[in-house]
Formats: sequence, structure tokens, C-alpha cells
Amino acid sequence: MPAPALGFADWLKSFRTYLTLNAGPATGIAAIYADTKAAAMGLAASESLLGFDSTVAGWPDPVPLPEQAQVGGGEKAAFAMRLKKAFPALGTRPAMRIIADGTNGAGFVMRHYSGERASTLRTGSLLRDALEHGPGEIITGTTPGAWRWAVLSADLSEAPDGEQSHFLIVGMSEQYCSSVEAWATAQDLAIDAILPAPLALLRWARERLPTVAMVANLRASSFRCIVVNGLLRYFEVLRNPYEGWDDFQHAADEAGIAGGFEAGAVPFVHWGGGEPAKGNVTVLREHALQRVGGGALSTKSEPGQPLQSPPPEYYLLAWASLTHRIY
Amino acid sequence: MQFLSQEFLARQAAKASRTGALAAWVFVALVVLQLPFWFWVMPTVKGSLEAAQQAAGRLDSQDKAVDGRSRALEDVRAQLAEVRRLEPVLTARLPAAAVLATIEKTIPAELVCGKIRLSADSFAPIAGGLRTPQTYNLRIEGWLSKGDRTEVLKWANTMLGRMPTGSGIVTVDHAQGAPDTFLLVLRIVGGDLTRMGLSRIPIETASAQ
Repeated sequence: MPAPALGFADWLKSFRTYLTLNAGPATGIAAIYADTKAAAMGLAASESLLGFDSTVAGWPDPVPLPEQAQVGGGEKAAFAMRLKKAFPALGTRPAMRIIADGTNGAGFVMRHYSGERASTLRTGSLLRDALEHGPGEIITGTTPGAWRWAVLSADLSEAPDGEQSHFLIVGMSEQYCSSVEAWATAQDLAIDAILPAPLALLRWARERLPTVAMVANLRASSFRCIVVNGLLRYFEVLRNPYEGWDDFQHAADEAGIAGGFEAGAVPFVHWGGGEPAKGNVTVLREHALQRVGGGALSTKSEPGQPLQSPPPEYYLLAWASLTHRIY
Repeated sequence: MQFLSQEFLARQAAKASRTGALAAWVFVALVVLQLPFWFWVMPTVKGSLEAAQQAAGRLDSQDKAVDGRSRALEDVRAQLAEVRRLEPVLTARLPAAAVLATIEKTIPAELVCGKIRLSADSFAPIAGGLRTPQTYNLRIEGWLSKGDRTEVLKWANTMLGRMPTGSGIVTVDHAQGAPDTFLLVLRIVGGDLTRMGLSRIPIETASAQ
């Protein structure tokens, strides 16, 4: 889609912003993990972590939460002012990355799509066109205009225009994305990307663990996936988060079989903690996350003093704020 | 795949654009450069403009007054137009008083006038569907107290000397066959009346004045 032409009024607004904030290139990155009830923020600048804040949902003019009734963007840019005051090292114009964790079908839509089994929609461009004009024929219950769609190939990059065996269809709620854009405009903040939390975790897992079979319980959503040599083999959003070890084992076995492996033959990792390790399952708790993530989380404000028992999403936020490109 | 609209990305890029910032500063510089114009030149121009507007207002009111007076003269204009329409008729007329005056001044003592008749003889059409007489017949009947027709002929020639050029004698005879009577018929051509001691009033000039 070609970029829309900016009018003179838009240019004047940009000019006002420039004069007000002395806008320059983005110097820091603030990644926000927002679920339907709370939000946490990780901040980085100059390739080092500045800090974390798990109370960001309580700040004035906070970032919109998925699936919540959206409030106004705030005319006084109180959120941006507090952010710059609390973390001056972020610079004048930090880039915000929003990781939105909602319910599958409400906050986001993700679905593995087999190009091999498809009769006609075998290329990324055909799939994208079909999603724009009639998404309900591919994913039940979706309507045109209600979602912003992306079609990814097995390496989680934008699907090129050619036949693929594996696609990952990702949709973000149009209403939520619009509210985040309005909020960022009102706050004079730059937005780098909005990603559904399962996709962010998939990218994290693909980068840290090139071959992994994973069942993940995020705060608001759950999914299971198999990535082999950096290529997505299987992905499914779980209808309900698993509860208890048997439930997890069942989810893992099902994923292994669906991914083309024998039951019990695939070593799984378990994102989210809460359960002890058993059999061929590695629970991605603090020490395992440290090993995978390259060490304990420590911030620039207190160098050498690792955070005590950080929640798993802090590792995701650290990755999201330190990685050059997450989309 | 950032799940951001193209419009939002375009706005964001414009905000961070150094070209946009440069353009913004150029815009500010141009605005500042205009300040002398708006604060010094414009008040002067504005004053001149107001004076011109006031003068225009005065002229407008005068124009309205002239219009009012002009409307009052509409009847006069209509009458003048009628006079102009009749101008060819007026200029071509032969005043009967002048003819009578010529008769009175030139008639010899031997002749007595009994009957005088002046009538238009031939007409020519003019603009506006009107006709003006070109020639007139002057018929005079009377008595000779003494003398003969020669006296009548002399008198006729004396009158013709005072009539417009081209006028002539039609008939000189005795009236009803009696020897002491006479009948004189003159043909008078309308036009130049200066020989009759008259001068025409130049109507156009009089109306223009």
C-alpha cells in the first residue's frame, strides 16, 4: 500500500512536535509487555538495559491494554514526560515496542497455515489478498477491516511471493492498533512495532533456541510450537492454558505428533515456570532463562547486581529492548 | 509487519525527518523575514487603503445624489427627446407671420388685399414617419385702386426678393375677370428664411447649453 500523502496541517503538527521535543533520531528503546490487566516495561539505550518497571499501567495516560475499553490518549503527554524524567538516558525520542498479550480471537489472531494442503492459496500474496477481503473464509469469525494482517513464512519473516509449505497468519486487532497509534500521537512518542506476545516469544525462541519444541503459558495466552533449525514446523494457539503436569504433557505430545515426531521423542521446553522439570521437559525458569539469555538480568542503574527473581516476561522485554529489529 | 498503519508510519517518519526539520526552520526564517512587512509596511498600506475607502465612500454618496437629481430630470429629458424628434419639422416650417409681415411691408398703396391663403403644396418624408412641406402656395386676391397689372407684378417681384431663394410667381391675373381686381399666386420654397429677416434657432446647441 503506498504511503498516504501528508497534508500541510500534518506537516505543521510534525513541526510543532519537532520544536517542542527537539526531535532527533531515536536514542533509546522502551518495550512494553501489556496484557489485559497490567503492563511491564523494559528500557534500553546504547545496547545496555536501563531498567524495568512493572507499574507502568498505573502511570498517567498509560499505554492502552488489549481488549480494554480505551481511554483518551492524554492531551498533556503525561506518560511521555514521566518516561523521559524517570529515564533521561532514553533520549528525546525513544522508540516504543508494544508486545500485546490478549485472547486469541479478540486481541490477536494467530494460526499455522499449511501451503501444501491448500488448494489455491499457496502464495503469500494470494493469502494476504484473501485475508484483506474475506478473512472469514480462512479464519472463522474474522471480518474484513477488523484486523491488521501479516503473513509470515516458516522463518517468521514476511512471506515472499512464492509457494510455501508453512505460513503463519498473524492478525492484530484494528481497534487496539488504532488506539495505540492515537495514544502515541497524543504522547508524541514513536512506535517501532506492535506485536502479539506469542509472535514476540516465537522470535525470541527462534533466536535463542534455533531448534526447540515449546509449550508456553503467557499471562493471557498460551501456545505450543516446534521450531527446527530456525524454521517453524508447527504452531497452535491453545484454547485454554494447560493446568497441571498431565495437561502439559498431553499438549506437548500432541504438538510433537502434529510436528511429525513420535510421542515423547521430542524434548520440550516449558515457558512460564510454575512446574518442576520432569522427564524430557526443560522448564524455562530463572536459571534456564539466564543460560539461554546470556546471563542474569542487570540494569545500568545498578551494574553487577542482578535482578532478584525477575518474572519470565522481563527476559522477553530485555530481548525486545536490546534487539535491533524485532519485526 | 509492524502492525502500524501506513499513515501513522508516514507521520512518524516526517517527525524524525531531518529534511522536514530543515524545512521547518526555513519556514520559521521566512516568517521572521516577513515581520518588517507586516509591522511597518502593512500599517502604512492599511492607512492609505482606509483613506482611499473613505474617498470612495464620499464619491459614492455624491454619485447617489447626482442619481437622485438625474431622476428628477426624467420628464425634461422626455420632452427634449420629443423636441429632437420634431426638430426637422420645426426647422422646415415657414412662419405665416413672416409671410404676412412681408406682405404688409411691401404692398404698394395702389393695391388692396381682399383674401390671403397660404397652403402647403408638396411634402417630403423624414425620419420617424413624419412629413415636412417643401413648397407653399401663397394666393392673394384684391383690388387695384389705380394702376394696372404691372403694379401687381412689381409688388410680386418685391416680395420674391424677400422670400427664400427658389420661390417664384405662379400666376398674375385679374380675379374673377374684373379689371380692377387681381389674383397673385406665389410658390414659396421652404428652407432658408434669412431673406425674410429670420434666423433659425440652433436647437441642438440650445439643448446642449
